[in-house]
Order: sequence, then structure tokens, then C-alpha cells
Amino acid sequence: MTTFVSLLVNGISQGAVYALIALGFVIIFKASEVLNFAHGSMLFVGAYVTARLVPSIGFAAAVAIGVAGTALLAVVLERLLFSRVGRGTGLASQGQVAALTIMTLGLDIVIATDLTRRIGSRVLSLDQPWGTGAFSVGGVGLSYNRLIAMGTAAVLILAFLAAFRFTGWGVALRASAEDAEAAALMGIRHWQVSALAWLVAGGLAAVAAVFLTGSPTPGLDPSIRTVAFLAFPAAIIGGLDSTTGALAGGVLVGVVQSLIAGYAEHLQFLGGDFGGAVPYVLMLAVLLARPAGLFGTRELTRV
Amino acid sequence: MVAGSQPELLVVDSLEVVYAGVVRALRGVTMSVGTGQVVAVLGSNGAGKSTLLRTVSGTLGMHGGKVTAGALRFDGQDLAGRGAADIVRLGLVHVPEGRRIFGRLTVEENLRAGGMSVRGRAARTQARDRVYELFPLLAERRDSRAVLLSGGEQQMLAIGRGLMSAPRMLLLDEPSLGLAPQIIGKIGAAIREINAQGVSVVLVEQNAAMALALSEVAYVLELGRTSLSGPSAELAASDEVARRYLAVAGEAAPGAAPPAPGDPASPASPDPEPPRPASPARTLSRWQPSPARRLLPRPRGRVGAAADQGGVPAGEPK
Repeated sequence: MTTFVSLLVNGISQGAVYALIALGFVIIFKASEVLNFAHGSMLFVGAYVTARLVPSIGFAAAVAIGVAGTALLAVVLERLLFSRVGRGTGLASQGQVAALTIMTLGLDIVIATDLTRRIGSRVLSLDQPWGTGAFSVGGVGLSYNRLIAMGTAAVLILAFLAAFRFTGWGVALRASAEDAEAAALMGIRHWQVSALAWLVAGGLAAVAAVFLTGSPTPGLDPSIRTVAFLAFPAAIIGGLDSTTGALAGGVLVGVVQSLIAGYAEHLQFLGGDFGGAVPYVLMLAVLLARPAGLFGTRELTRV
Repeated sequence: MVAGSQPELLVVDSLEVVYAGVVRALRGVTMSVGTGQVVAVLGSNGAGKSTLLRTVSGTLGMHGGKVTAGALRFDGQDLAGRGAADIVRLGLVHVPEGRRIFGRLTVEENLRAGGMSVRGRAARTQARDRVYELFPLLAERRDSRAVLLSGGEQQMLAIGRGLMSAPRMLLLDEPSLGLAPQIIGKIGAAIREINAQGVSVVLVEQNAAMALALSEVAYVLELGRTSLSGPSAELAASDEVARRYLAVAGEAAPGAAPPAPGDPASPASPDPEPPRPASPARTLSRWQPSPARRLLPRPRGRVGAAADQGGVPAGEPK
């Protein structure tokens, strides 16, 4: 029982970080209809910038610059992708959306290849001030990194949901996502809505990266990019156009992954590396039952 | 200058539009709307009415259309190359066909979206209060999701949302579409009230009886051209318009008998409002729409095509 609770808590804490990534993925989809496969690179850039700056300017300033830089990079990517499409409005037709999605995949490979070359075989440390320690309550152990990650994610998610619900940007984003033409007829400038969505998504990815490179992970190496490949199914499980769904999907993937890893010895028949495939198996199962995802409204046939 | 002393607010000059590079939707539309005027644009399906509005509001590109010739001016400013969001800021708002409200947003949020271009909280609150005053039903349902509203309420929301940016001109595309005659009457009364508050209105309708009763001037589009134009009262009185559009309108609004020619605001018309004081009778010879073709006693050109469209009473709404 203690093992189970421990795995559950660790899964939730890791899932909260996935949720941050999935949330960014979903708001980009809502604003631009593009599946941003460069999301993994954004994690990578955030962690890399932070890691390189930490020795000279300290952790807090490095994180601030890393987050701001990644957010800015996301906007640059958005402008780049949409510069020749939809006359800079950040809107694309169905055919163009498919092309743009493939372009994000290309950008991801370019960025990740460059950063991998820079890192080489090293593992960069972000020197998180909370260190690698862990604590235990009643036999349930959790690293401080995971605990802080969970708290930070909760705060950011609540702030995001409040902004999404109450601010002008939130209303404009939801209106645009529902009917871009009608939103334009209301005087909503879609490119602003879209740029801000990418900005927020980039920032969230960089924050997630700070925790993904902390304990129990030894530091930053190129494998961080693969975490995004867990967040994609998380977003799809929840429903690609649902922010609530992204949160639920992220936590679900985190928990299931943690449980599978924890009970690996009982699950030998599935093979040693089954944990990596779990999010996708889960995604397929959910999509078979609910083609629009748990909370989604749009079926994936539209993508 | 058109129609007496009203300065022209919107000028459409020999506009030609092509969709997907091949389909010619507008083949030379010319019209003008004076400040404070209500202008009706009539025509059957595919005549180019919605295309005209899309072109004016800057959303033509989203439908794959392109202006190939002609000019558009609003308050003296060229609209060519301006995006939809910028045109709203000039004071020109298009309420699209089919209402297109944001169903997952609440009524209040829909109105908020409509006022997104307005600077200043006070101005937005004032605009919202005016909309609620105009449509008290919306105020009652302000926290409902818009998708839960009835068709008539959704149309009111669509119009109210368009008013949130305090426009000088409102383009309404088929506000009566799919509504019961009684509701159409309410919408008609609201349009009159909006106009009375100083907003010019371009009313695109298949419900010709309603449009002619509300407007001072009307244009008839046919296959992308302005085929007829003139004071609404005279158009309504003409056999030509009565035969081709009013009968169709009668079908589109069940329960409302087509008004007799010569009596556009008869009690049987779908608009239960009392007929507005007869607009100053202008004779055709005195009323000179600039280059648009004028009211003709008989169909001109394309007689066959016109008969195909107008003769069959199956002008059902899209």
C-alpha cells in the first residue's frame, strides 16, 4: 500500500510537469490549429539556456532568462511559420495547417540537433537550489524537486486558468478558437492572440524543463526532448482543444507511467521498456472510446 | 451625393470579386449608403449578397475570394488591403449570416468579444448596457452559454455583439433567417431602433418584405450585378420585385401572406410594426443613384436566368 501511494504521489508530481507541457501544446493548437511538434525543442532550449547561465548569474536569474528566452523563441517560431501563410494573421487553411505541422517537426529536428551537438556527451546541471534531497512521510518518499514542481505547476495552472477564463486574451482566444472569422469580425486581431498563446506555451515549457532536469534526473541531456513525446499523448488523451483535458491527460500519463515503472517486476510479460509505450497505449484506448478525447469537442479527423 | 442631403458613408464602386481564381461572384456592383440610412440588398441565393458583405468587411480572403476590380470606401477611406479587425476599428461591423455566435462562451463573454476593439472599460460597460437595454432578453440570460439560446435570442446576441464596438454602420446578413414571423418582427423593431440611434444599416435579406419595409433604398442583386435599385417603397410597389422576391419571401416566412404589391407594410407582412411614416415620395426621375442601374419596369438582360431563379418559388433559405 505504501508503495502504491508513493508511486501515485510521484506519478502525480511528474504528471503535473507533463500537464504544463501539454497545456502549452493545447493552447497553441487552440490558437493556431497547429500541432507544435517543436515543443520538445522548446523544453530543450529552456533547459539549455538556464544551464549555461547558472554558473555565471545564479539560478534565479538564469531561470528568468531561460523562461523569457524560450517564450520569445516560441513567438519567433510562430511568426516564422505564419509569415507566408494567412497574410500574417496567424490563421491557416486546413491544407496549410498540415504543412505547418510538418514544419514544426522540421524545426524541432534542427533545433534539437544543434543543441545536442553543443552538449555533446555531457550532462549539464541546472544546480537547482533545492538540491537532490528527498523527504519521506509515513514511508512515502518524494524528492524536493518533485514537491516544488508540483506546487509551482499548481500555481501556474491556476493562474493560467484564471487568465483563460477572465482576461480579454482568454475570451479572445476562446472566441477565435471557436470561430476565427466571426472573431475577426469582432475586431479581434488574431495574430496578437496567437502570438500570446505561443509566448505562454514557450514559457510553460521552459518552467517544466527546469523541473525535468532536477532530481531524480541527473541533469540536462538531449533525452529531455523525449518528454514532449509523453506530453503529446497526454494532450490528445485529454482532448486536444481542452485545457482541462491537458491537465487531466498530463496527470494520467504521469501516474500510469509511475505505476508501470514501480510494478515492473510484476509486469515482466510486457517487456522491460513498456513504460515508454504506455502513454500511447493509453491514448489509443481513450481514442477508441472517445474519439475527441476525454474533454475535447473536436474529433481528430479535423487535424 | 445620393438620396437627398445624406453624405455617403459607404461607397461600393463597380466591385468585381472572384472566388478561387475562377468563380465570378460579383461582376460590377455599385451602391452607396448614406449616413443614417437603412439600405436593403435583395437577391436570390447565389446573387452575391453575402460576397458583397464579406468584401466590405475584409473577410473575403478567408473564403478564398479576391477583389479583381472596383473600389470600396468607408467614410472616405479606401478599404482595400485592410484586415477585418482594422475595418471594425473604422466603425464598420458585419454581422454574418447564420449568426455565428460563440456557442461555448456565455452571453456576456460573447458581448465582451464584440467589444474587444474598444479601449476603456467605461466605454465597454456603456456599450454592453445599451445592448442589454435594446435586448432585455439577453440581460436575463447573460450567464448562459450562447449555444443554449433560442434562434431568435442568438440573432439578438449576434446583433448585440456587433453593436459592442459602437459602429457607425452595421452590415446585417439575413437576420431573419430561420426565425418565426413574430421574432422577425422583434428583430425588425430592433433594427429600426438601432438606426434611430444613428447607426447606418445595410440589410441583406431574402425576406424582401421585411427588408423593403425597413429600408429607404434598396438594391437588387442578380448574378453578381446590381440589376435594380431605387427607393424601397417604389421597389415594393413594382410588379417586378413583387413577383420575384416578395412571393419568395412569403414562402420563407410561413404564416405571413405575401403582401400585396403597393402595400409593402400591410398588416399581413411579417413585420408587425406599424408602417413607418411613408418616406418622402421620390419619383424615379428625381432619385438618381450614381452609376447603379435604375429601377426598370421590365427585367433586363438574362431574362431566362432571372425567370429560372425568380419563377420557381423554391427560394428556400440556405
